[in-house]
Amino acid sequence: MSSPVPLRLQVVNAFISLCRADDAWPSTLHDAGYHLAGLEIPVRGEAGVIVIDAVAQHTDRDALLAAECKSGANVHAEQARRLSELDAAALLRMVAAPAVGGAAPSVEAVFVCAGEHLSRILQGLAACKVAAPVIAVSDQAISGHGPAFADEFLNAAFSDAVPVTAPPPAYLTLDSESADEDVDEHVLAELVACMAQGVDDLTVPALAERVVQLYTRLGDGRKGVLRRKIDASARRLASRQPEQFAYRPSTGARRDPTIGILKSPEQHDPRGRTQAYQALARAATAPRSRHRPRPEVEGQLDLLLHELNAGVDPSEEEVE
Amino acid sequence: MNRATLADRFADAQTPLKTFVIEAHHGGEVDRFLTAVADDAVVLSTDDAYLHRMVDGDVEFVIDHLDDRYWSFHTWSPAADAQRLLKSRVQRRRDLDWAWLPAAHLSRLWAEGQPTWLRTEFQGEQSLPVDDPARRMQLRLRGSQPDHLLAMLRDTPYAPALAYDQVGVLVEHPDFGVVNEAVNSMGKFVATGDSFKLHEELVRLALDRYRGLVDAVEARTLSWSGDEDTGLRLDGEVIALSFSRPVPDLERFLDAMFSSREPFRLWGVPRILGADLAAVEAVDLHVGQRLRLEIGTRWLRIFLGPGTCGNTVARLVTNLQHRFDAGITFDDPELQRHLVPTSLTLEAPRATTTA
Repeated sequence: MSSPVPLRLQVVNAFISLCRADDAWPSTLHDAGYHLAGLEIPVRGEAGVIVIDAVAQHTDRDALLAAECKSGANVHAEQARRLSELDAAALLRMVAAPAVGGAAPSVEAVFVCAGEHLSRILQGLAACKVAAPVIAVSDQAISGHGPAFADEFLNAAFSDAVPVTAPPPAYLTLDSESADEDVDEHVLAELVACMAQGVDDLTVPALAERVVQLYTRLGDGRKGVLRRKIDASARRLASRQPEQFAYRPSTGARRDPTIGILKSPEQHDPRGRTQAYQALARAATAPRSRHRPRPEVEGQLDLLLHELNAGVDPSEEEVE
Repeated sequence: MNRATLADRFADAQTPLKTFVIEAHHGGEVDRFLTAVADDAVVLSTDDAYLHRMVDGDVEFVIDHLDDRYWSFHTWSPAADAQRLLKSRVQRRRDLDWAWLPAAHLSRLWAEGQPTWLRTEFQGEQSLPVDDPARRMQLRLRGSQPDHLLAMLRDTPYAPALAYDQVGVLVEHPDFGVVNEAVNSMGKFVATGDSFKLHEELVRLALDRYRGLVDAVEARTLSWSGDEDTGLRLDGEVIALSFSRPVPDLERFLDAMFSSREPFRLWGVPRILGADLAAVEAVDLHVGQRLRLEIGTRWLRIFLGPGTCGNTVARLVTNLQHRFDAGITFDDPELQRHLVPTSLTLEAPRATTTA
């Protein structure tokens, strides 16, 4: 499955997108009445705390979908069983949207996986005797598999494969498992934004907040992992481009490490500024550069026409 | 000086009035902002709290900031000099930007006006192959029905290049008077006539439509709430656009878009994921804000974070109309209605305060 983000994030992004009315991707769950109630929701049960990847809640009744988003092909039997035995009231207490009332709350486990892993996931669920529907996401379609949903509207929604022509929108692009090159891509873009804003120095935690929108909302554990990843990225960029960036580790006097911008394109005149920004991009793209045909020199024809029409129609010049 | 003085001068002037509309993020400190924008120029107050004069050498502007966000810089000084002075300020300040009027905002400028002039402008050299029939195209049409001629090209290979860039219109209104107005896609209005009030009204109406687009975009910025203890929630929307024709060479297209140059002013290192998919963590260099874009050969998605200026999307879409596809559309019907609005109709004037 081609994707702008790693598969583990792509599967979560797919579930998020299915719950939303965005025009960028099918809104199958949203159209069946569900909206995203939360991500990474912890629920305490008899066997301890289980963290649910994503939860969708019906708009008109207290029906919940608890989704396990699988990037790989393996099913963890204990996790799957605990998901399928969730207490609806306990989960309802953990989601932010107010309960609707009326019929008793219900929760249904659903597994979301990449199309290429569907058969292994179905086998894994059968092996651990967990009866839960599976939503498979591929380059071509979204499709429902395995046992029927308890919600008839969902069975109708997934009775036929829903075609797609693009991967789901990448709402989540970085997490604590992201590869160095993915982190560097985001950190460099943020440092370029800092240059354009005239910011010349910032601490690593401040950089982390700017790079990862979710950062301040994460628990200390994951925040720490992300901060260390961004810290490492800042070090790499500073060592790769020492004339541009300086990494300063924390000291007794400096609580947090910082990254300084030593040279910014904003220090140049407009033409030099553009060239300096282009050089920054080239430095990051050197491996994929390739020869391209030289584009036409823009404005040549305009110059001829300007000379040809000089003084002929001054009224038009007023708005050019 | 006040609005009455401006109105008298407008009616008597031998040269056209130029009004440049510029988006100004003054942060609530108008006086300090005016001084900063003026730089070496002199700023003078007037009888009207919302009008200031800015004198820069031989060029004088009257700055109307009654509209808190979109300021009008009026001048009777030579157009080229005024343009140069404003351009240098917009280029070097992140808190100023042009109003990037989409093509349809120009094509449907005023319902009851008499069209006088129309120009389409398309510069696809950077993003289209040499054999594209309308890689570089400009049409200039004079007369009262230029739209009718353009309509004949709608179902031809030239259609994606029919992006309105300038329009002219003669507006006569029994309550206001007459103005002969020319407008371009960067929010520059040039006018002669006998009614400054009518000119102001036309600028205001065009801007209200533009404001509608920018506000609708800003209402869709993506933001997270909650935390890991209670679950994370996502508000806002991804802004999705569709092209009316496929991108023939994605790498070339991306090179043009993320070159850091005018007019896009986008910095980014596109990650190309096959022949028909790319993703970019980009920076809008004009405002210094990061945004994510995902690009296919038939579509484009924009992820705007909290606080991102909607002008970023207006500038991107308007420039794509002139550089790749005049037929680009928002997938969101509400955004599309703001991109292609219905024609404006002038209302009767409000009570006059002219002295």
